[in-house]
Amino acid sequence: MASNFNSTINAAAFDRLYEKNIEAIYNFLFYKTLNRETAADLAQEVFLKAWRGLKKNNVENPKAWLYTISRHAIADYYKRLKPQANIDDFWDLADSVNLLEKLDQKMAGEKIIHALKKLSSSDRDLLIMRFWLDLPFAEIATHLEKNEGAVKMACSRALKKIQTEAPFIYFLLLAGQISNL
Amino acid sequence: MNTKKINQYLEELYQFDPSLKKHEQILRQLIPQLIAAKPDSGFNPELIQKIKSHLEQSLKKTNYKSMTKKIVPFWQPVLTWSAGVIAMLFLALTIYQIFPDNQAQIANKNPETGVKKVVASAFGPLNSQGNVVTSDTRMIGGLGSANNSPSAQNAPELKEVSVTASDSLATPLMTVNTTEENDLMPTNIIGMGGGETELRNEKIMIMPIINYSFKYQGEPLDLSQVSKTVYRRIKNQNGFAIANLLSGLEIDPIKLNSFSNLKATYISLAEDKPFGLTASFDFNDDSVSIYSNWEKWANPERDKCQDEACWSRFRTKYEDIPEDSVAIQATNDFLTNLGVDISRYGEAKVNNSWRRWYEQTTDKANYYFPEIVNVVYPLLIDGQEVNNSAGEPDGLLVNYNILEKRVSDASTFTPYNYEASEYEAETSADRLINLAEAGGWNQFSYHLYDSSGEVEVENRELILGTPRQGLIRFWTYQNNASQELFAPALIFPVLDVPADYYGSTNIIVPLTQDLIKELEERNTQYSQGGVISPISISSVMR
Repeated sequence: MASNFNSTINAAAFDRLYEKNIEAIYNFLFYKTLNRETAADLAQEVFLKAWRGLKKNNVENPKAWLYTISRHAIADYYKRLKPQANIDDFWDLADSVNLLEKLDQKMAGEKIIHALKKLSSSDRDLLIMRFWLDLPFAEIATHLEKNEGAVKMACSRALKKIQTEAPFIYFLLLAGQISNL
Repeated sequence: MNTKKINQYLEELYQFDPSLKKHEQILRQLIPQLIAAKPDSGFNPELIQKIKSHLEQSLKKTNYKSMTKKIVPFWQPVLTWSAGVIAMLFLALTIYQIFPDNQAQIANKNPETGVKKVVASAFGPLNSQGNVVTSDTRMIGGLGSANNSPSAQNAPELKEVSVTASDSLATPLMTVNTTEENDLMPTNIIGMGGGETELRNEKIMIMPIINYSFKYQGEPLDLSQVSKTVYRRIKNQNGFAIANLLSGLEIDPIKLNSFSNLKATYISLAEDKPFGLTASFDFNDDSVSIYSNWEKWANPERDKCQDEACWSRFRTKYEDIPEDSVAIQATNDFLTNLGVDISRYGEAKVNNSWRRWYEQTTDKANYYFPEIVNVVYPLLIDGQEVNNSAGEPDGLLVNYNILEKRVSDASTFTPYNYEASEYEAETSADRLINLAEAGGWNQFSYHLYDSSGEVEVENRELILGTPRQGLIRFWTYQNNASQELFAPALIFPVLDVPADYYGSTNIIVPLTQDLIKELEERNTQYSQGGVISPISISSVMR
């Protein structure tokens, strides 16, 4: 693809950036939108912005930067959809449960969505990155430009929030066990 | 999900937050469920090419030019060069708000602290009409946006059940697995899971369902003195001022003044010494929290443990747990040393909720005692105590580490700076009591039934006593910004709490019309003429 971007070495660098990060960025976008087409469109938008941005800025950590662009792209996308609402991602949508049922998702996803909806967007990002993208805390900290300790603390708080302040999770988890028997 | 991986997740978290260990059984179920819920993104090599192709098309249209600057480290020099200088500067600039008596105090740019009265209804509607309610607000009220959306009227059954179940009073289904490992587990843990086997393969038995309802039997309500005042916390924007002071610095190889509209958002300062602490300054939230610097709290002996026997040597024992007065003395001393004015908080209270579970467990020898004592200093605004969504004191939380006999965490410090605005208050005692008997703001009472006859269902009535008045902390969104609000409410105590009751022991009923109206609308959605609609257990399990 480098030749199609540009013949310079910088285009080659961008090509490597794309190849190295497209899967993680696409998956992150998908977990925040739960729609494959939307995730693909946004992934294209993210890398387009990254290309334009790299012409103007020096970036120490391009992957962290890509995540930042991704979060903004998601927020912009939902702002376009629902201009009057302050929505960070799919999970904030009031009718996300209805929408999810139209998608080909697992039953477990339908149940856990209620727990994830209870969290702030930033807490959801943490859990998605750690447990769905399987990123180490150190890497998450880098992506979010926070220190590792703060990320671990936030993650533990998010888990505590699910299990102490959303006691229904017990019910849903156990209902999930029963339905899976 | 293999146990090793779960253990890895847990150990990482325990390293930083040992208090999570007391929730281990639940976490061992929650984490695999979270991972199992991961949706299939459908990512494949073809998708790489497809996105790439579209990207190339877009780039051609934009008449792109080659990147002229290579990718080089940007923030690294800033951080490595002057971390100490910047940290100390930030600390000096911000410490006056949190530690007002400190010698490092500088000119206070926000000298006006206290409660400022503003016009009535100054904070806009308190309900979620027109706003997206934050997760915190949903938790407080169980008034998730899904409840209030037009689509909720026609919501599918699963949605209805799940939303209402978020604060439901029906006891969760309790399961007992039959692995030998589980015999060692405390019996008070909900949803006991072994963790060694796939959850779906466990043999379980269903414990009885208990539906709870409430009956008020307190004294007649006297509403002559109810508060109409709602408070909002004012957050100062020190981030700009601090960044402005720094902007003249030249830090090799860059100049900070090459940036525009610079704002400090967050910084952490860690003590580099044994049992050091970390102070995290959040300039957007105008708050500070203090945590243990976990690297300096390491216990080398315990960290080498490879088996349960070794771990158990370091477990808290019953006799290790200090008297409440000892823990409170330690936390008081800690706050005094910081220069915190504790007169802005109510009487310190120790959270002893674990004792309830300990008393109930039959396997006391294997009970997992907490490693920290939670001491809560309830925030006072205009002399009124602030409560959380469960009707429990809310304010400054200071953790006393039992094993190390010292304070490990304290959060959250905020400047005492509020606005007060009057809102229309409810004056009908009957209306307030009806809301309390329906579960109030924080709980919602629906009843489960089982048409199959396979699950035992029991209905119980809980008695509510005379309420006290307090402030409830909640959040709303307006104009793309969150508001941290404190609304007056009645807090009804649940009397004679049964041992197997897991709901809140307080029922909260807001006193302002905005919130009451929304609460009644929520109840109407799920009830018929005031009678709570029964929900089939089988529909929940489907």
